[in-house]
Amino acid sequence: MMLQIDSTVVTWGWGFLVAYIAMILGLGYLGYKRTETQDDYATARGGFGFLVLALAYAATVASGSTFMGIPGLAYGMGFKAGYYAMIYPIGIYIGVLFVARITKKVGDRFGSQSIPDFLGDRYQSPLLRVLAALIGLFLLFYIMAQVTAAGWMFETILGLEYGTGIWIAGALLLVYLTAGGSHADILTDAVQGAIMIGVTILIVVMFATGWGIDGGISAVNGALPSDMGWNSHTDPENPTFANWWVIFLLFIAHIGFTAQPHLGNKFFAIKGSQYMKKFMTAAAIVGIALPLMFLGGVLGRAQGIQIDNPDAIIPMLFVENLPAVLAAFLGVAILSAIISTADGLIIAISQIFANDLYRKTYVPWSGGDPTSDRVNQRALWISRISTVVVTIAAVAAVRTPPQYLSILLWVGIGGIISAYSGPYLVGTFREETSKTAAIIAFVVAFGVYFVIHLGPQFGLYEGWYPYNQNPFASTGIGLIISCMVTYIVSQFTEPLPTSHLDEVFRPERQASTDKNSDD
Amino acid sequence: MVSYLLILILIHGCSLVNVLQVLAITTTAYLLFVAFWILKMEDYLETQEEDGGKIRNDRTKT
Repeated sequence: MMLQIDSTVVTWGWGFLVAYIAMILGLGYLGYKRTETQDDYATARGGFGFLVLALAYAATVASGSTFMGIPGLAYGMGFKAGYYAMIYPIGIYIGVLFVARITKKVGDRFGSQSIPDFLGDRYQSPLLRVLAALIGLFLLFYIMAQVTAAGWMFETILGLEYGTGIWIAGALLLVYLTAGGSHADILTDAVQGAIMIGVTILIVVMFATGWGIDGGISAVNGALPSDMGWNSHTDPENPTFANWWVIFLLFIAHIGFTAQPHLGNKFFAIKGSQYMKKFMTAAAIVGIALPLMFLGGVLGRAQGIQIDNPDAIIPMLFVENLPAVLAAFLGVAILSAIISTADGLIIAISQIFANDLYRKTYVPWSGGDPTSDRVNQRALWISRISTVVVTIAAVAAVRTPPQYLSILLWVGIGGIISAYSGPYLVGTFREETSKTAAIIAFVVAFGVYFVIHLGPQFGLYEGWYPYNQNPFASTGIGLIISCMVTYIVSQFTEPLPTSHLDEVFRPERQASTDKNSDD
Repeated sequence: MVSYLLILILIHGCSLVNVLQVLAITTTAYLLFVAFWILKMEDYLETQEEDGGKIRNDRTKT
């Protein structure tokens, strides 16, 4: 779809794009200067304060979906889209409260460099690490979705062909990620997060004042068709908002969202565990604010903006209502939101190859020492090479946007949430959680998710789960099954050795025990 | 305001409140939960972890 964009917007858009590229290249260089080891590249361990990390985390969560998909949903469905927009961050940031402290503590103690690695260390299980890493590879579809969104943004704001836009997005990512790894990822995401807050505030002000419509918020509601107005809570025809139960499952599913490898690895980067409370508070507040972008979709519909692709409603709202210079700036800001999610995903996948499969699996299996300098240098090179390969593969795969991209996207997201949640969430609160329980729950929950959602979506058979079309309602069930199986199987299986549990949960005590036994 | 809306929901279901009011309530409840977790639960869990290890070690000794 080629939109008719004012040439002034396009000119300003190019100007802001050049400034944006200069900024991320500068931050990428800064990241490069701070990256000496594989651990620096993979985690930026202990490298950032709570505010920078909270902004980076919120920016990574708020992907192209928050700035394009959700406002597009609101444009098509009205106020009830707010139940997705505002409920999903509640799930995610409650999940952060549950797991952040332990992930940081255990990750630092064992030198874990990714969430699959963390699970392997927590449960002393190379098998769990490999299983988690292999399922994590499905995040490639998530990157493909972000690159597709970036291509559309280039088309909408800069008037570029979609096919050209995706390669520019890929090149941008490559330049700063290959050099600066996690440091560059977090630095650029933090700046992008700050810009995104500004955009969100602008949208909220436009909505609250009923921009372009006389009469404020009530007039916005009045301008909508009755089934989109604020008195319409659910829609039996729409799988996502069919009833209150599926909305509740949407919340449940997102509690496990923080287990996604590109989010969980951010916890390692905070300077110290003592900053964790401040990080959690800041992230929880910023994170709930950004999805208010859905109000822009509602306002766009109320203003009667006609558009073929609802996902482009926010840029079109800017183009229709604001001076060209501001519209162009905000368009580039949305592009930065998309890029900020894609970069975290690429780093996470590169670590599956470099750390989870090579350093922590292949090297010990072949009798080598995973902590040796030689292995670490080689892992750093694998990180950089796999960053290049993954980025090029993702861009090449969406030259023609795949027909089943949204389904494939949820193979990764829903599969990871279903499989990881039990071992990750239950294992955080219950020390007694056994290795056997974690592995069984991992496999069973992914299987359940496949049976109730993926099978019918791929057309393998008729779905019997009433909400099989709804990935959130299916993932919510996967998460519940995963947690239940982890808990129940742990009751009947051997817990991990006490010495290991002390090392995981009470490193200070373990250290003093080691010292006494040496004496 | 929030408690008034909550009472309305409890008595009449969602028919008397609009989407924005429901979202205002859930967001307020969320922020209260975050505050409770940060101020109370984090310290409690850390103490639990310490005690959990102590209890297990005592059991091992007996």
